[in-house]
Amino acid sequence: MQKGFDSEVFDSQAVFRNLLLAMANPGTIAATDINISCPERLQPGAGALLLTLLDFETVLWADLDPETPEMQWVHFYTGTRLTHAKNRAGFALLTDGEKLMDPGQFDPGTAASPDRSTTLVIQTRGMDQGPQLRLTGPGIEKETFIHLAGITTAFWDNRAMVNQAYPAGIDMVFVHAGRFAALPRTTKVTVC
Amino acid sequence: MYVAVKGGEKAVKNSQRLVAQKRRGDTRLQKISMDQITNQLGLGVDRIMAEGSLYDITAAAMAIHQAQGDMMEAVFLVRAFRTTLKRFGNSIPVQTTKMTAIRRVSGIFKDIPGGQILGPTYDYTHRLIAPDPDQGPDAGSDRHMETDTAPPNHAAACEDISPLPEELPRVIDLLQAQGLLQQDDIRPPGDAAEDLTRQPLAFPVSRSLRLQALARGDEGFILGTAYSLQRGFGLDRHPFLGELKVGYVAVRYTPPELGFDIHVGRMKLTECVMVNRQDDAARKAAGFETGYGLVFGQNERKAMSMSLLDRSLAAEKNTGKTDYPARDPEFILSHCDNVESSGFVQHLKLPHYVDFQSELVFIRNRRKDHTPDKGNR
Amino acid sequence: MPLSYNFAYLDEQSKKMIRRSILKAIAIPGFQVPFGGREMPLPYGWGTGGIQLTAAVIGPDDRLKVIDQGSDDTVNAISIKAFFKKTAGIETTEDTERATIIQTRHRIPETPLQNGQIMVFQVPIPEPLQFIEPKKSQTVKMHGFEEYGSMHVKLYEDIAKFGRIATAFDYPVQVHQRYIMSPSPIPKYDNPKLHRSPAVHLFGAGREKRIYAVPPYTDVVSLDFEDYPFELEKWDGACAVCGSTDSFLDEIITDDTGTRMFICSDTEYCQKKSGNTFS
Repeated sequence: MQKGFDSEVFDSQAVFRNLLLAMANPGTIAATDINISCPERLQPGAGALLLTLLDFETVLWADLDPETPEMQWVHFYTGTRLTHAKNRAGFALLTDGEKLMDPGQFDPGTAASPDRSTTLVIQTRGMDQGPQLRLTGPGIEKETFIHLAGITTAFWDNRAMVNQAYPAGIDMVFVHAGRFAALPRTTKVTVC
Repeated sequence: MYVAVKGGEKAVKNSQRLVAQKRRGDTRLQKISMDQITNQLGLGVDRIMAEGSLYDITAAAMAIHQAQGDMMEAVFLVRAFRTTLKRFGNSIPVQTTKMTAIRRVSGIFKDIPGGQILGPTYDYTHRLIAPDPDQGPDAGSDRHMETDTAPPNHAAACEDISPLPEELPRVIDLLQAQGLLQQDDIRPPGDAAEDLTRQPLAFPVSRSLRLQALARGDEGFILGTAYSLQRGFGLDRHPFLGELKVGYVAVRYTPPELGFDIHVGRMKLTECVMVNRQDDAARKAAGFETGYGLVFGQNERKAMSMSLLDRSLAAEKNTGKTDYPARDPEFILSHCDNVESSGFVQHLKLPHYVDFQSELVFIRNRRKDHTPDKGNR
Repeated sequence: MPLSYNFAYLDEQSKKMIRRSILKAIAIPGFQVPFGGREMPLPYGWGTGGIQLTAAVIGPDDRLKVIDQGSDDTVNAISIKAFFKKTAGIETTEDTERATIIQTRHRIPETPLQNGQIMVFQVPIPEPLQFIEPKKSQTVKMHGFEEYGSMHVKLYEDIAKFGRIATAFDYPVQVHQRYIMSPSPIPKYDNPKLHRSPAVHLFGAGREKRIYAVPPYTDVVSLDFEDYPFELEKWDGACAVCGSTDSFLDEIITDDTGTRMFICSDTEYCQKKSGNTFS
């Protein structure tokens, strides 16, 4: 089994703190300098996020088979339960963001319990190229811009549709290598 | 010039020192040992384990000692310790029919399979304070008080008791066999997925969470609200004690890596089933319905009160009525926890200068109004 | 009995659960996220919600400031600071600008907050509709379907009766044009500080087991009416110590004939203003 966190206590705190600030300031790119070694198809940023967020009380959906070394790794370090049903997952891992068209397949929660929604961890092909995205909403003073390579335009349209049901909606964290940026459901995205 | 009050840190330290001093009391006297507490204040230890929701005799005894016998404070200490303990998994539901009972009574049938066992109880003692209760009647008393506390002569006390049966069938199974019970009343749910200590209460609340909340709820609150039912604030007829049992059960657990269950220890429990007549003719066949109580240790008044409330709180689901406090799940379950209630009531001791200042400013401005009560200007 | 506690007291499983709730709270500004609140070694009502948030967020490099009623030196603030010093070994500070996490009861510091700072509020009653409708089963629906008519009716009744809105602290706000939220029992004087604040504001109610949040640069509007706009408390005088006329003032009774003076509730701000440096 490849190595997880050096320190469960301090590494997960450091990653969480970055994630908190990333979620509170959508579009800001956070970096993890955590020393972690994930199986091939798992980018270190995604691995660090999963180890930080998951435990035996969470339910994860992933676009990988439970038998793959990646999922074995996640399960070994977190004990998370796995599901095949996208709309029952509290968290979802998408190792190839390009294949994801419609976040509406996941659970957006309900008007009374919008917190019972799926949070997506999406691996991208880069945060320096790709179409420019203009972001507005809570956590953003006026507007901010971000690039996410390998996410389709159709995805952004579908995301806007799901989040129209606000407060129900889907929150997501985009990862590239050791870096990540978060887009809560309140962030409006325009493809420039 | 005015200087703002300082010295909070020193005051807190001094206060803690005073508490330690008070706890120790007169140093010429011997310190109480934990063994003394677990052996001689056993029912107190039981209560702390129940409301602390942690079956740990040592922790409960330490807490009672540290809290100078303040039971709610001791419950709080145990809870704060319990909350940090790592979860290994869920045990297999305990089998109370296989309980080694030290006490078993039923108020509805004179003779029950397995027999009634009076066991240790204060029920038939005369509550006279004895100079030394362990010495039996008359010992050392110049007032010649008659007490009913027998001397601790175990051999003599147990002489004429026949060995207890290995299994004690449930008394309510007798009613069940005759088809007189509602099907969903028979057994408490064993849904391990729900855990009150890891998820907040949401209403409507499941029976599993309701029982968990009652089992660790404050004994006084549970007793008082159950009593209100008996006085007509929610019950319109007399309830009956189906069965009350105190004894030891085995706790078994299946470690995932082993795949078979192992015995991890024994627990003392009090179990109670209360029976009520049910003849809501419009909806169901006439019969009986039950309420369930299960508490750590020996605590009969708690288990009985719990089973009364279990039944009355289920009624809301059936009738939609929450006309009395003891029939209102949100009222009872949101207010029965004494760590919560004690904390919130006592937080009024904390400074509220800022809020009060806001009120002062508001009231002074109100008084400046020339037409204070006309409104609708 | 082996008694040992984790960094910042809480076990890692509990921290994870709280962290997941915090993320949801930030993503849905003003929505009260139910969470599996734990018993803390301090009593309910003493800030257990805030302490759980701080314990879930804090790391070894943090500088923690704790205030109660605006003061760093009240007994409860001291006690909470001591708790984290003992369980997390972190540095504490009174300096608002240097603090990375500020846990507070009933005040927001006068010194403007910065992006990156985390405010942690201790909340006794998170439900702004509690005194209109005590049942959670009902208030959950009212928030879900944005049925806030009863709140406006209550405020309007105040105006009819008193000629003004009679709430002086814990004055309800609407967050991101959606949820009505309790800002915790801060004086309404502090409400405008939440509006488009650069800091993250986390609110924790331990006994009621709710977490909610206001992310940076988010609209937080105090409820009012066009003809009865929200107004702030005003004092006739200035702080007797630093001379400030733009801070929330506490009233000090200086003798038994009721002579009064006013000084800043925010002790650190007052010290800075009057040119005192502090240790």
